[in-house]
Amino acid sequence: MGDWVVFTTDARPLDPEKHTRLLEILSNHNPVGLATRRMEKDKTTRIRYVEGWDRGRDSGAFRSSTLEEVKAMRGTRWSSAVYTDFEDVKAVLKELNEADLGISVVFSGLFDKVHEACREAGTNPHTVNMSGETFGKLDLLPEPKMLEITTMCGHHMVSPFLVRHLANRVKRGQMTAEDASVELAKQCTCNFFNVVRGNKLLKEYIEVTVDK
Amino acid sequence: MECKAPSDKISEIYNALMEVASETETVFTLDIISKCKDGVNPLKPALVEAGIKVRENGKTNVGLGRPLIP
Repeated sequence: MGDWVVFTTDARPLDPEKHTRLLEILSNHNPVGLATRRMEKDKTTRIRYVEGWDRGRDSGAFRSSTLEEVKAMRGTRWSSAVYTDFEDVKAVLKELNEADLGISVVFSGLFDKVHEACREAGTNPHTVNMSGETFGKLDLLPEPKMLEITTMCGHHMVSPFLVRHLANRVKRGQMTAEDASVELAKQCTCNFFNVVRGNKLLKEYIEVTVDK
Repeated sequence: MECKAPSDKISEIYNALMEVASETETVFTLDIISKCKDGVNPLKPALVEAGIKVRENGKTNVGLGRPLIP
């Protein structure tokens, strides 16, 4: 299973029609997450779709939206989408290139695959941001299996303590791994956490380490 | 912290980070951003030569942006 994030941010407002088209393209190819943000003079509105998160699972400040609601938002300047299938990623890039919106778009995922998608779509990568080594007191970090889950949120808003707590609840049969993964996805307010991969990784984590 | 440096300084910067890492009380990571040339990351050979391991995944600006003022 893959994990691909596509996102875009404008430094200043562009043609609103272009953003409408952008959201349409992002939502056309089976995203498991889709989010957008409208920035007005004194107010920012962000809405989020996560597969498996419906209104019945809303909690605290976390409010879900449907795919259609995100797609229908107007006046947006920031958008993101999450995919699990490389074929969908290739289709998104191809459609974006054909639409020629002029909006700068970043794809996060395996470099070889993203560059392959670029070649097939007929575009050239402009810049790469590589993640190098981790330095310092590495024994302060959680175990690698935990990091696979928590690092899906680049701002580390998904706490290892919450993962352990939810994993124990799943293990005891108090909730499903799917629901637990939605809870984890809620924490990542940029909406980059891949809820489907999160579910898979959580099950793997439960198999190797719970109640420790 | 961010800095801009010529590619031939990579090894020197990396060695300095390794030195600091042995003294620091916390964890830090290294991100490297490079502009591509004809769709290829020109920094890759220099990173391999310097012994810097980079992850096989990361962010790619796929080159769809156009200047607001042509």
